[in-house]
Order: sequence, then structure tokens, then C-alpha cells
Amino acid sequence: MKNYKEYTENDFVMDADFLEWVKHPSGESEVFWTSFIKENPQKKEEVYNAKTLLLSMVFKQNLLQSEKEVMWQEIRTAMRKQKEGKLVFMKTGRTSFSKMSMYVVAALLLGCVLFLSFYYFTEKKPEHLVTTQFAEIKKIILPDSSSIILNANSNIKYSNQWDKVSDREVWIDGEAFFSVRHTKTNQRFIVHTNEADIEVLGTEFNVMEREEKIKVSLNSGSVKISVYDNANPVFLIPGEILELNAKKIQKGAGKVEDISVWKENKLVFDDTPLSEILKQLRYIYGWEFATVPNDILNEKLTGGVETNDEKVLLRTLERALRIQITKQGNTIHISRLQPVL
Amino acid sequence: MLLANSSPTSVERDSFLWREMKEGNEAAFSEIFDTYSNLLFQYGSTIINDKELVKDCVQELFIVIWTNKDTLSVARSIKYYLFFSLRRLVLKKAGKRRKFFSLSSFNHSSYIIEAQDHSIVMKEININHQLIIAMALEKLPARQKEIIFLKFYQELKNEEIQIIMNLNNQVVRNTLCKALHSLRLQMKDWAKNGYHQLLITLFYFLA
Repeated sequence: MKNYKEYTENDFVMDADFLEWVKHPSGESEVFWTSFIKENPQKKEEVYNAKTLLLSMVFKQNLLQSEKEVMWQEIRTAMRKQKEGKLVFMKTGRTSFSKMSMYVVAALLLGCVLFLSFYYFTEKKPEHLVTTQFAEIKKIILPDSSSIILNANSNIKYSNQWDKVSDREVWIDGEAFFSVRHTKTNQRFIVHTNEADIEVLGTEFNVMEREEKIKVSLNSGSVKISVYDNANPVFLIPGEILELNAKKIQKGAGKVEDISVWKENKLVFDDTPLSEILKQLRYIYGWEFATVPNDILNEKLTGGVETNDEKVLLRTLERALRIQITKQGNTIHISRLQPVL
Repeated sequence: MLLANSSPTSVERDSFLWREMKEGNEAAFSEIFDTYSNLLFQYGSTIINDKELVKDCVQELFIVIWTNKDTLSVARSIKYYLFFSLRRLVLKKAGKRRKFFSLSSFNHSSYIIEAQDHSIVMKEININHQLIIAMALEKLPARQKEIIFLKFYQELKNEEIQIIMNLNNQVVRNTLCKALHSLRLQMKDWAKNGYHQLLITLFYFLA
């Protein structure tokens, strides 16, 4: 029998039986611990604190269902490849092809390749267009298995047919986060915007093109940005941000992970003025802010909000800034909350 | 001795699925993926704060398992085996990447309070206090976060942690003590933090 009377808070936390009771309480353990506290009221606080600590250790960095599905698909592809590989191996292991028939197969394959490539080069390449509504985020897997997460109120265009040598190209309008796969043939990946081309090999970065303003932030790898009518390309290293506004190029460092956090349905503010926050909400939800008291526009916020529930989002802003928000359709009115006293 | 203390039924279910998977049953394999992919992702995220890398590792782990299913044997428990294998993969990949990128992508990590089944118990708990613990947890060094995840969240035994993390028993105990200690320090720090920030974060977490 353990001498729980001598236990400190830490001892309780480290005790396996205590943990078992906290995580999976049973009738027996409930009785034991309730009577223990009754008999040793001086230990009540230690027990309570230890229990709180244990119950609060929760890890909730979860995979999205969509991410899980993408992963499973890729695993399935690998499984299928293995299966095919095995079958071919078994066949050749059992029956030996004569040299002649090998030539026939080779010739047939060559014919197929020629036929298909003829088709490929003559047929007009159809295009994919993916668009998102307000308050919608989509994940797109490109033919090269690079992925794009498209923010609300944005669209992206790319060719339907990708090969293993030529440039991979997409056209963006709005905001997107790119995870580009590096290919063995070192294919370039080019994002076209109205004002500049962004060129990469394999990397992660965020592109925002809203109202003539372009913002590129790099999470990993490296990118090359060629601004139209400008001879010198700009290179970014991870952690750097490029802003392009009316042909003016500005480069600096910043919290790039915060910029692309929208893809997890969050927005993160770091001393961000309300004016900037409202702009972002306008892009994401299409809201118009009809009345906003001027003096609160410069108030700054730090922290994070979830964007998938607009009610919660608005309530969070209300509480944090002590304001009142009313929403009629897409129009939003903000007023100062009058102190009760 | 070395059995993860999940309930016997889930252990039975696990070993049933594992046997089926070894026979080439894809549905069973898919069940295993479904049960463990998120848990593995959570575990990997305590080791390195790089979402894409951890996702890649989890994916690769499952492919490797399927490829080698004929030769795999599983002693102890599946969870334990998966944790152990994932850890090695993550460290290998993270090491490789470090050679190429000095600064890789740091995803915004979040350890968020979850509404649990212990609703009655939870009511007793001051929500602020709980939030502070969650925030403090986020600030811990990776190794301490990892050991807390294994010990208190996954309820593994010290002997199991010892093998998974490749540490001796004394080091496991010391790291646990250190982790609890720095968790408390962080909690004090957070408690001191301004009302404004705490409030908005609170709503973010409750959302």
C-alpha cells in the first residue's frame, strides 16, 4: 500500500494508479479517492491540482479529414504499384518469353507511345479552373502531386495535362498556399499573377493577390520572382516576404507561418491593427463594413481566431475589443460598447 | 509487462486487425490507418514542429508496413510498435532535411483544450487554469513535450517510454520531472500575461 498521505502534487501526477483514476475513473477508484480526501483534507489541494494538470494535458494538433484522405490515397497508390510490380515479377518468373515475343511487345509498346504522344501534342490542352466561394477553403492536388490550398474568394487555373519535362504552370487570382513537390527532372513550377511570375523547384509558400497588391511569403525552399517590366528577379529565402504594390517592390522578414495559417481555418494576429483585420475578413467572407468608429481602427490585436464559424469569430472580436457587432446580410456595423456603469 | 494500457478489447481488436493485415486484408489495413494516423501525427508533432514532414513520415510508415507485412511480427502492442517506428522515421527525415534547409517551415502548432468525456470532472476545473496549462505545454522543449505526450496523454509505462525514446530508466524519470517543472514555470509565466491576449486566445480555443 502506498503512503499517499506523504505524497506531494508531483508524486500524485507521477503515480500510475492516480493517473488511471483520473483518466478512467471506476466505481472502485472513485470510492477510494473520495474517502482519501475526506480522511486527509490537507491533501485535497494537491489531489485537485494534480488531477487538473493531468486532465489539461491535451494534444489537439489534429489531421484534417481531407489531409487524412489524401494520405490514404497516396498509400493506396503505393500499394497498387507494389501489387502490379509483384504480378509482373511472378509472370516472368514462371513463363519465359521467347526473344521474338519480347520484340513484339516492345514494338507494340512503342506504337502505343507514339500514338499517345501524337494525341497529346495535337489535342488542345483543356484547362482546370478551381474557384472558392466566400468563407470556403479548398485543397487541390495537382497532377504532379504538389498541393495547393486555395483561400476563400479565389481561383486557380492550370492545364489538364502535365508531363514530366515541361514547366508546371498555374494562374492565381486571390490567395493560395503552395506545397510544391520537387521532381527528379528538376521541372520548374511557375505561379503566374497579374504583376509577376513566381518560379520554384520544390518548396512551400503563400501567394496573395488582392486589389493590385501582391504578397508572397516563403515557408521553406526558395523561390524566384520575376516582376513584369523589371529585369532583375527577386529571390526569397525562408521567412522572407515580398510585397508588390503599384510596381514598388518591398522585401522583408516576417512570421510567414502566421500568414499561411488561414489554411487551417485560422487567422493569427500579431499586433495587427483592426483596419488590417477587417480587410482580411472582407476578402474571406465578402463582408462590407458600413459603420466603423474611426478611433478603433488603430486598435491592435494579438492572438488567433478560428474562421470556420463566423459567429464565434465575431463574438471573439466583440469581447476582445469591447465592441458591438451587428450583421445584416453582408453588411456589418460596429459600435463601441457603452460601459454599463 | 509491456502492453499499452488500453482496454483489453482494443488490444484484442488491434492484434486481430494486425493478423488480418499480415494476411493481406486491405480493409483491416485501412482500419489500422484510420485508428492510428491521427494519433501518430499528434505524436510526431511533439517531436518536430513541422506538419508536412510528420505527415510524410506517417504516410511512409504505413507504406513500409504494407511492403514488409510478410516479415513483420508484432510483439507487445501495435501502438507501441507504431510509435517506436514513427519516431525513428521522423528523426531520420528531420536530420536529413536539416542538412538542406537551415530554416524549415514551422507550422503554427496548437495544443488545444478538447471537450472530453470527463464532463463532470471538467466542470470542477477552472477553465482559465486549464488554458494556461495548454499554452504552457506548447512552449515546452520538444523532448519534454514528447515525454508528457507518452506518459500522461497516452498513458504509457516508463518501461515503454524507455524503449521508444531510447533512454534509460533514470533519464526517463529525470526528463519527466524536468518537464513537469518547466510546465509549472511556463504556467506561472502565462498566468502573469496580459488579460487582453489571454482573453482572445481563450475564445480562440473555445471556438
